[in-house]
Amino acid sequence: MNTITKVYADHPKTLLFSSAAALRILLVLAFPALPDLLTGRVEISSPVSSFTRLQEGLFLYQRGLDPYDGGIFHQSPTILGRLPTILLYTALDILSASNLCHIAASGAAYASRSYTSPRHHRHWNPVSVAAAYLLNPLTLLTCLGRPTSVFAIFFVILSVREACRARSVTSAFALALASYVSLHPVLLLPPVGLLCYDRVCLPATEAAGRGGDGETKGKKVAIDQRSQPSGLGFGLIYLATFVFSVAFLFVLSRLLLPSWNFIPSVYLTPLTLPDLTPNPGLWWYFFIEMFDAFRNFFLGVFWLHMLSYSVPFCLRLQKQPLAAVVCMMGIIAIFEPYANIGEVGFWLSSITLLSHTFELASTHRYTFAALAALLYTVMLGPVFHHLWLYAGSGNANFFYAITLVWALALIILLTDTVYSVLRDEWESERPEGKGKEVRQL
Amino acid sequence: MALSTRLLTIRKSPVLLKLPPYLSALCILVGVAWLFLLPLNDYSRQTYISENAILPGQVHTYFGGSEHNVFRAYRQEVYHLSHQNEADRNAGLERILKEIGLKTAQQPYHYKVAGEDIEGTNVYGLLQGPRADATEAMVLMAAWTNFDGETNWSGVALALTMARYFKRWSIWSKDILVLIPADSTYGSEAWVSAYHSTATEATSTRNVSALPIKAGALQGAVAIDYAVGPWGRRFDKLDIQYDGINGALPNLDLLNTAVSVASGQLGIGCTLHGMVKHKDSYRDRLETLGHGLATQAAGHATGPHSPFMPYHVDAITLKTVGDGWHDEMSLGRATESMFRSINNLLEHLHQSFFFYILLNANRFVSIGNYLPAAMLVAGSFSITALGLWVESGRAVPSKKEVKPASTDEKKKGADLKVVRQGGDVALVPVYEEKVVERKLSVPALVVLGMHLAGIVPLYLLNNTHKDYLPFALLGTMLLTLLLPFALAKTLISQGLTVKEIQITQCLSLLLLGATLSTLATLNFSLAFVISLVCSGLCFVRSRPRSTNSAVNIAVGTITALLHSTTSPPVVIYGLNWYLAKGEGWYDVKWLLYEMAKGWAAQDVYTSFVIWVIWWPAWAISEFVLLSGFVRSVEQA
Repeated sequence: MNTITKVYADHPKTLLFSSAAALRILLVLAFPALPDLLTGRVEISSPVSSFTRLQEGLFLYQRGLDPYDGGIFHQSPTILGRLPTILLYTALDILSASNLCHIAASGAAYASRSYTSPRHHRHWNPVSVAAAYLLNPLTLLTCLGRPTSVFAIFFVILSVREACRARSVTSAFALALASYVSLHPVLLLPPVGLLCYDRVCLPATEAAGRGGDGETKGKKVAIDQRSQPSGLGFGLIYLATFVFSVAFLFVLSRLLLPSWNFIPSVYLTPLTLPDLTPNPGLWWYFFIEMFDAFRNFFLGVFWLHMLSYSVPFCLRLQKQPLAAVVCMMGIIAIFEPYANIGEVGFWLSSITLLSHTFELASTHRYTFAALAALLYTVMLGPVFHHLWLYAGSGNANFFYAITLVWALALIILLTDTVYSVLRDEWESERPEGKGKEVRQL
Repeated sequence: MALSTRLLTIRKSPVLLKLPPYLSALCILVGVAWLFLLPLNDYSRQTYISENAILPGQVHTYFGGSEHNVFRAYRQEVYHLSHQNEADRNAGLERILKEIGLKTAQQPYHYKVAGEDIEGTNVYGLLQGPRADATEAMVLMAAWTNFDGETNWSGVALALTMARYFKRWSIWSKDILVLIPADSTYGSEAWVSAYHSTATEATSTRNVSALPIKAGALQGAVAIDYAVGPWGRRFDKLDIQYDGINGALPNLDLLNTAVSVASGQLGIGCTLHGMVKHKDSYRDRLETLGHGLATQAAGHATGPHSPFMPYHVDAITLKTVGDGWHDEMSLGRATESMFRSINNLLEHLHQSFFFYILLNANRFVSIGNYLPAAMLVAGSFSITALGLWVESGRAVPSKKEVKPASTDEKKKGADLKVVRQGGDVALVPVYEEKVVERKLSVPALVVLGMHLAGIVPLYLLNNTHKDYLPFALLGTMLLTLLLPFALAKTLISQGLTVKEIQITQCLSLLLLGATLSTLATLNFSLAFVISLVCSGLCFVRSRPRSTNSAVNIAVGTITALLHSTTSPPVVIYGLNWYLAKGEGWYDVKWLLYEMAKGWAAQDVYTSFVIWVIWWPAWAISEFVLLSGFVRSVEQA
């Protein structure tokens, strides 16, 4: 026992990573049928990320056929190298966790160029953030179910990490890779760009702030604007890097494949939703019920809805850009057309980056109720799916009702996060409001 | 928004904090009372045929006349076969089926459960329907031995006669499989699982060989149980058995068809659960409901039809009971009419209810009326969990402020604290500011660990040799009593706080509530029974009453023993005593062996629910109970 605590105190990361890897590999060794079982679950594999569809695409590709011809395979072309193994997925999870650790350690969550949270001492240990990701049951199940969305998650985290290190080129490139693997990370472009800009400007701000005493920290200090990069210029460069990276990846893919077919197949599928396999998201049932005449209109509405959050989050959470990134990830995880528990798990874990504001959510909001609802839906979802499709004693409404509750619980968690982040900001301006109930008038 | 802010403000109300135990008690009481309302006319309905295609009893049945002679001949033949060894018997049965003109095959199976072997060979034949396209089939079954272990002479003879009779008809639009399983439970289990399996090789524990002959998707199965020897015996009523494995039920339409054909067309009365004298009084209805609840909660097979249900094949057994004036030809005509009805089906039975509780052969309660009972009882756990969560987050007020019920703000004006932030200074009330951190890691680990530990009794009680099963239960009993105590002792000496104990209980109850609500949608009765037995867990708190350590030890031991009466091992002993099948209350071997057989051979998950859901929840409750006493003894 003592040795374990000693090892834990000395090398917490090593212990965590090795135990997480061992857990995944042991699960596969102990239950060899588990990965295939999980791959078949609709909660884990969506039509745009399923491992079985990847096998199909790879099979066609290796025989010199266009994998996008059949209408089965909708995943990005570079994955077509060879079939990824559980080991690769485990490694990706661990790298993602390590990147999350770096993001947490960088302090971007609670200190930005114009704002330092009064609760900054309350943030979690970076290793705990990594543990929240690696030991999250949803992440664990996703790792064993092997959907390709894990690649997108990895690149998104990488991009945020690079943004926290103020490396705009690598950040934009990683985000381009993520968007290339699955379309929706493109919505993270504004918040991640903002975060990167903030981190680029931070050293100059800190240098200026260091002149005064400790009290001035978190307060506005006159900074020579000329010493900082211009926002517009930075944004243009970031955008240009992103666009060039995407273009480069497209050309690279074209070299691998016989035609440009992959672009509509990979990127139009989430936009037009041709495959209505059930998933834990909000789209499939709605579009099954839809009359064809309204289909295009509602596709537009649903996508506009998702799109409409990206910039407003950046404007409102300007002082806390990482919070904007996390909130936008939440929007994607809840509202994306081919939702899956992998992305939700990743988002739930990344909320721990904002751990310094947790006390606000837990004292003033409905966190416990939302988490209890999540627990209920995690159990009822698969059971209702079973009753619908296997036992034959239920119907589609059973499963759909549960996905609604699931989405509701997640949305409550998201609004709680936004609430606590904004309230944290508000309390730093008005400390007398601490601990009081606020009401919307 | 207005509602949600209102909710947020009232949650600090001290009245609300006192409410959860009362609310939980109310939920449990209402849930139980609900069940007693169900037999009333206002809460149950008359059964009706929902699927138009079935047309029960609309055709004239022609089974009769010279078929009686055929039946008697087959009965004599079967009687002779019963004196031969198993291989010859099966060969004889197969020969008869072949002579009738069916494609025949045999299927050996072998299960190994608790060191014992269960083996046998199924014989079956396929009658290809003249109008069928081999996509759909129905099953006519007569197990060689019935569920009570008697040889099913007349049942098997009747199945053979029916096969010969059916062969001459040109109307079948579905294939008919005539199945003679060697045994009522495992034979049909082996057959139906092989029928739906794509794998051809058998595993070591489930040594079921593949079927050489298959037809299309099974639409329905009817088993005949008529354990009467070569001299025949008339019967009074038909007992309709319908419970499937894990509490799955056949579509109500199939059951209604059987009742309607038997009583409407042929004048044979129908009973359920062997209740021959059913006067349709409140008491009798309640008793039928109780029988249904008990068999469904056990989840074990109740006849050769049971294994079909998990494969989404609706099946029932027709068992003859009593001494009356109906003979085998009436049973044959009932079977014929049923097959004509199933033959009419255009799509799989789906119109009527899959979730119901029967009160007599033509009265039922639908899911909407009975599910709230289980949900209310399971909901009581969630309410208590919510209450404990709020309680665990509250700052303990100082002694002089024991009653924080006062809502006037002036009183708090006294305790103000100066907060400086940046250049701003503000006065903040101290009590309001205080936020109690909830330490979640140890409670979460305890709950997770307990549930994982549940695998130990589950494994022990299902893999030990039959003769040592009672010792495995004794070992589990010891573990059940000692583990919570050891855990309380260790963790409290490590500095576990009252708040953490509250959170442990909160998480455990939350999980229990969620699991039981989920289970209620799969197997209502099991969830309801477990919820009732667990209902005491809501009211356990870790509060020692006395400061005297001797009194504490005495009171602690007594309450812990009282609490133990609802623990899984004690309930198993109690159940054994109630059923009184062994030599005494301690002779649990047969019960444990039945449970092990259910788990290993029938895929019954009741054991899993008992040991991995109920047992950990109970153990954590015991841990909470003991921790109060351990704490005060250590402090003294």
